[in-house]
Amino acid sequence: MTDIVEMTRLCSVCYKMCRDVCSVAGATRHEADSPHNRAFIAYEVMHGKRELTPEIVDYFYRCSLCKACREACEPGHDAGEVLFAARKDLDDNLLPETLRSVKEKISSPKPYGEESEAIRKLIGTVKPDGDAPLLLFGQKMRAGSADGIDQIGRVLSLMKKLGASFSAFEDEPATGQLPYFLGFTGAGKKRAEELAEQMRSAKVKSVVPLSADDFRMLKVGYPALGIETGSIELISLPEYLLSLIVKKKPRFNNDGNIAVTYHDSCGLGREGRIFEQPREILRMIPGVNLTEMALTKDQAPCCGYGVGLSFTHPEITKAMANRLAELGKNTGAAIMVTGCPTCRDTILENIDDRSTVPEILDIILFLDRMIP
Amino acid sequence: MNFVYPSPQNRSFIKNIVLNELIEALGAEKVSHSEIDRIVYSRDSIVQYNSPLIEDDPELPRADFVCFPETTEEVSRIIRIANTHCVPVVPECGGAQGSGSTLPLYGGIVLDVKGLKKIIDIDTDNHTVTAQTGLIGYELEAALNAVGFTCNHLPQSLHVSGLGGFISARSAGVISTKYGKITEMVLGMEVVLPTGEIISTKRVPNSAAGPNFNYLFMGAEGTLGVITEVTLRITPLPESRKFLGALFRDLPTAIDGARLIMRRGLRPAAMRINDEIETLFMGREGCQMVLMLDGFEDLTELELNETKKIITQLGGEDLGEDPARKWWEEKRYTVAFPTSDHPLFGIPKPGHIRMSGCIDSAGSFDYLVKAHRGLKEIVEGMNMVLLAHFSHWYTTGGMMYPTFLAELPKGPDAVRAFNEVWRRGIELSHRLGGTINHHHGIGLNLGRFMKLELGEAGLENFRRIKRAMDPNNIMNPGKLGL
Repeated sequence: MTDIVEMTRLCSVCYKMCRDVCSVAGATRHEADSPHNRAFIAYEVMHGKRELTPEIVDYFYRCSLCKACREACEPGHDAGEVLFAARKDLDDNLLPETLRSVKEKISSPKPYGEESEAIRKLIGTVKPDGDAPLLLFGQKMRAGSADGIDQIGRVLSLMKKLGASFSAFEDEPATGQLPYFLGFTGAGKKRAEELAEQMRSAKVKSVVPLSADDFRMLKVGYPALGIETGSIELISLPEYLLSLIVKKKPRFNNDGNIAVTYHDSCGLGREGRIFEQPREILRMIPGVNLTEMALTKDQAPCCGYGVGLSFTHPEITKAMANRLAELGKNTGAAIMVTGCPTCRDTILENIDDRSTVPEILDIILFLDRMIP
Repeated sequence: MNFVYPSPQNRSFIKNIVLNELIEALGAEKVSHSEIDRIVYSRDSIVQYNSPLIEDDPELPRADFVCFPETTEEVSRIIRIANTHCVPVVPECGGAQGSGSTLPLYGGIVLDVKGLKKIIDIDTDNHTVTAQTGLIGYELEAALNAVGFTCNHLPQSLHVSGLGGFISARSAGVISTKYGKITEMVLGMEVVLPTGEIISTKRVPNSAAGPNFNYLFMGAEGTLGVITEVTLRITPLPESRKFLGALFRDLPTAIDGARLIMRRGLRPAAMRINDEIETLFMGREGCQMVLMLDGFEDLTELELNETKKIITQLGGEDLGEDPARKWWEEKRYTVAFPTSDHPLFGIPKPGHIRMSGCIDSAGSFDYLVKAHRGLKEIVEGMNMVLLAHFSHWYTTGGMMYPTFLAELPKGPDAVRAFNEVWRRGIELSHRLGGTINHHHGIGLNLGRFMKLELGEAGLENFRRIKRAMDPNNIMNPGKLGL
């Protein structure tokens, strides 16, 4: 494993072999946003050739940590890891203003604020059964999404249709993914410890995060922080849904042919290597014609959520969401299915004109529609 | 040509005027003068090479502004403003050229064309694609692959460089033997001239209506205008693809094999000969050849069998498909990825500089053997290492891709050695009748050799064209020896 300093150097001397898959550079079209150039500036800072200023720090935050660069690199160098290291635990006076103003909120147990009483009540209707897996709805769905209550309703509806028994926390702590990936390690660790403790106390056997970045946090962030989750099995949403469908063999109510494309969420795909399971689900549905976008799997661009990029650089998130929607539109598909509800929200919140792109549904909403 | 730019005492004032006009023309979000943007646009691959063009590590010249146009009209506006105030304009796409073509030597404006990213039309019936030139190669290729087509331009820089760069530098992809260089793929283009006027050439298979103006801009590296849109020919993805490796006893025999293959009328998509040193790194003695054959099944089968006959005729060894398939599917980009033990990218000894360069050229089959031998003598005589392969073939010859590597103590001697190996290598190419560059472009580094390539009258003619089209010399000044 190459150490971070040497990796920074190697990325900074590369011919930019990963630039075409960089989610940010692909959307902004700015040379400065290529991983190579970010590594070059980071290397200069490391070696005292350039001072670390708020402008440079702001620049380091123009990365969605999607890790497309790592997957494109034959030796596996990770320019995203360089940027992640560059952000860690910086002084507040170096942070971009957009981040400084929301740091406290992002680091709190409720980064999107308190969920509504109606949502709590709805989740409170879940009756766990024995060793049923814990579904983590995620803070965005619970409190940050315009139609969160509808989304949660559909989750419950789908689980009922699939005969699935599951549990949920009425008061669900944040996984800590936002503060962790934004460099606030202490806050990220605190949130992570809270959730881990709550899961241990509830004797959770398995956990299914609905958000790809919560899945990523549990898979990658918790071990990196030394957070013990014991024998709790981490299951991705597509894997969970596939197992339910294989077991239940539900009838699908699709009448005609429908072209569908699939967006590989970063946290599921590149970090979790979950590529085939959602596609297998889509192929099981009669009449669904899966048509792939030009950039998929390890090359799939990030939707723009970028584990906090939407807080620091909303204009980049907007460009990324529109780019992804355009890629979906180019397939001619009627529906773009995302592996993660947060991806769906991010695209819908940012695209310029919904009428010109496919309908955007996450895999839960899509299946709830397809199963009577 | 002398460049006309405001004197230092007027420069700050003019910069403000230019900035205001650019913002008015494009919008503030498409114009930058941030330090970070000015730094990153001061670099291209020649810098990564640790090329000791000058001693020590001085600050590289920086642009004053970077512009991010998204349409041909916006490019035109930028150039008109630049002309009014005699400000240099350096177009840049991927910025991966190894000869300094996109370095903003005299400041001014870097015009990043990557915002021109639209695929305008994929015509699968007439086999063309029309696209803006800011697309990175793989972006276009992926979009074509998604509909079962390919543009067949697949250089090692596919993931790095863009259409604008490919065309401006007359680049060649690894399967050019069958499909041609990018120049052969271009039907027509839209160009913003150094005056800001916009012209288009027709997107037709061929014509006799006067000179082919596409060729005025292809290879001009932005000195005669900015190519903003292009129509390329495309083909369906091949039905069949076959691979073959062969081992010849030495380089002349391998090159003879390539000659006989081309003479027979066979057109391998890829045919790549490694010299003895490169073949040794692959664990063999002699010269390895790898081939890839594209087309419909009967064609590839026929070409494979005919190729095998030629290999046998020359006493070569059939290595089966593995070496070729492995190269295509796993290895063809490997050398471009840095690792700590990579000969180009590893950290040199303290006080030393690691340098390299590719003195590529093209010429007849006879030329290739002589040029390789001559260059090897030069390079090894200077205590450097030469690795070479031969990879773009024609019925009349081919291309040599020789890379020299050295690690020398930093200082004036390294600078001298770098310049000398280039000079002697280029002079050798010229003396033996080859071109001084096949597909990487001239840029800054090779500009001083353009008189060799074109002759005195030829270079003066190029300069006349430049003066006529770009009287203020704003377009990429200091490049191509102009």
